Amino acid sequence: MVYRHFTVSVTIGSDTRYLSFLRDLVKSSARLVGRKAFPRALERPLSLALIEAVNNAIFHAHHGRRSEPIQVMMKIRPKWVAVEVEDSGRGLSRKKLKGRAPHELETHGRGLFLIRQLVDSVQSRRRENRHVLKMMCWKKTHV
Amino acid sequence: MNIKVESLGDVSVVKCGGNLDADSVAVFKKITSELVNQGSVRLVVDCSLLKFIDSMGLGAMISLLRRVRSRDGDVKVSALNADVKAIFEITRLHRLFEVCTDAKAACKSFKG
Repeated sequence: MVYRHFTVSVTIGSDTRYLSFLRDLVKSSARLVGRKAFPRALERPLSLALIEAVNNAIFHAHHGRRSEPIQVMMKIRPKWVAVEVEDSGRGLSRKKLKGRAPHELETHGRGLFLIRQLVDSVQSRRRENRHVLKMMCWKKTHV
Repeated sequence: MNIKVESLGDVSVVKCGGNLDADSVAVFKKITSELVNQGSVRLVVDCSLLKFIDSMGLGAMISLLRRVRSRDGDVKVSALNADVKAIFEITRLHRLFEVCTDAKAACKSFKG
């Protein structure tokens, strides 16, 4: 079976215990839909971008409040694969979203930089009082 | 993640396996901090069994490097897999750390 449209959505608590589950979710989804729908070259960047976005939600949007829900949605479409992370934080300013790489010796602030380097497009927007970070990879640019 | 520490002369080899991410970074910080407190300033982080690293794992490695270099020591990394190597290159950490092919070569480079 060929999946042209595949969407998976999960809601997790703000807890780093879910990180390996999320990596497995990306891997399992890729395996399920097949390499044509989810090219191998997209798996690593999207998996790491997802982890960085969830880390941001846990530590910066929810400040470690474990009961705060984080919704993760992965969409696989004929031309692209996208991952959305929804939290209850205020969101990211344009400046922050496009900020420069941190100094090499800086111990923090690499998450967003990594996301920008890994995926083709990053959007931060509000949706019903929630913040959504959408990260997207075009298949043609990674294959 | 699992971490094993071996001493080869005055070099401590920290062998990391699994994932060095936000969920496991505290273990890495605790073990390496204890090593530095005990006087180890020549460290090799052997990544031959490391599958995944995120920005928090990178941050912990940089923090260790800063601490050890302030004591005239150094941290070298070895045996990065292709994915981890790519992350090091994207974040330009391959210019900050000496990256060696394996732990043995990393230990040897301290003597050179």
